[in-house]
Amino acid sequence: MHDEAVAHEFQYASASHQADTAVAGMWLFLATEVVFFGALFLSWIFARHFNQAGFDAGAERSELEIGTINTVILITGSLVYSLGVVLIEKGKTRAFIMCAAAAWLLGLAFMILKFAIEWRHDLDRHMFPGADFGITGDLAGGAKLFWSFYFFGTFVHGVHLAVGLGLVAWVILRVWQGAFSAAYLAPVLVVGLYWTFVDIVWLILYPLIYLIGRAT
Amino acid sequence: MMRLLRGAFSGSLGTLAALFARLSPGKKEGIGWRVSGLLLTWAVMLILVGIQYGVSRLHFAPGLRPVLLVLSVIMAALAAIVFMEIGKGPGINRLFAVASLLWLLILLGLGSMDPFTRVMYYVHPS
Repeated sequence: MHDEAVAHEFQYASASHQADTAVAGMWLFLATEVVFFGALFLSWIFARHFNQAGFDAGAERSELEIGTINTVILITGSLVYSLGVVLIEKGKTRAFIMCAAAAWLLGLAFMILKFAIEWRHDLDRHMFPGADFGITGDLAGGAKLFWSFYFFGTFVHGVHLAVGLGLVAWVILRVWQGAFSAAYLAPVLVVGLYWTFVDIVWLILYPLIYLIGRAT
Repeated sequence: MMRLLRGAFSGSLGTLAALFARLSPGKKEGIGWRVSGLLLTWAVMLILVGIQYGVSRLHFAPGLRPVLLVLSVIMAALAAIVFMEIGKGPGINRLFAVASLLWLLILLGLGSMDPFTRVMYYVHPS
C-alpha cells in the first residue's frame, strides 16, 4: 500500500490503516454470521437427535451428486477469487477481472444447480413439508423436519451467495473502471473474505444435508 | 454424473496447473509460492470432499455418522487459513475469528446439552 499516493478518510492515520479497519470490520461481521448460522446448526442437532430414523429417511432422498458437484464448484470459486487477489496485488488487474469473473460464473452455476434443478426436482417429488408430503408413515414427522431444515438452510445460504454474486460483480466493475488496484485493494479483500465465508458455510451444510443421514 | 464430475475436476486441474507454471518464479515470497499454496489447499480440499462422499456410502452406526463433519471442519480451517489469509493483517482479525468460534462452541455446547442429557420416559397411550 502506497500511503503517500492514496487518499484516505480523515479519521484514519493512513490508507493502510483505513484498509486494515475495513478488513477487520468484515471479520467482525463474519463473526456475527457464524453465530447466525450456529442457530441453524443447533436446530439440526435438536431435530435429528429426537427424530433420528425419520430425519435420516428424509436425508436419503436428497440429491447427493448435485450437492457434491456444488461443493466442488464453491471450493473452486474460492480458489479462483483468491488467485485473483494474488494477481491484483502484483498489479495484474486484467487477470484479476478474469479470475473474479470465473468465480462469479461458478457462483451462478451453483445457484442454477441448486435452485433451478435440485429444488425443482425436490418439489416435483413432493419433498416440501406440506399437505402432500412424499414420505408417509411413522417416519414422515422426522422426514418433514429434515426437509424443513433443508429448504430453510439452502435458502438462507442461497441469499448469502446472491449477495456475494452482487458484491463480486460490483468489484469487477470497479476494478474495470480503475477505482480499485494494487494501490487500493481493501474492497477486493473484504469481498473475498465474504465470498470464502459463504463457501465455508456450505462446507458445513454439505454433510448435514447430504452425507450424515445417508450412511445407513 | 460421476463421469461429469471427474471430467470437470481434471479439466480445472489442468487449467490451473498451466496458470501455475506461467506464474511460478521459484522465490519463496513470490507469486508462485502463494499460487502453489492455494492450489495445494484446493487439491487437499477436493480430496477431503471425495473422502466424505465415499465414506458417506459406507454402513456405520447412526451415532457415529456426524464424524463426517470433522472433514468439513478441517476444510473450513484450510479455507480460513489459506484462502482468507487469517494469519495476515492485524491481530484483531484473529481475535474476531477466535471469538466467533468461542460463541459458536457455547451456542452448540450449551444448546445441545438438553437433547443429549434429557431422559425420555415412555408414556403408555391409555
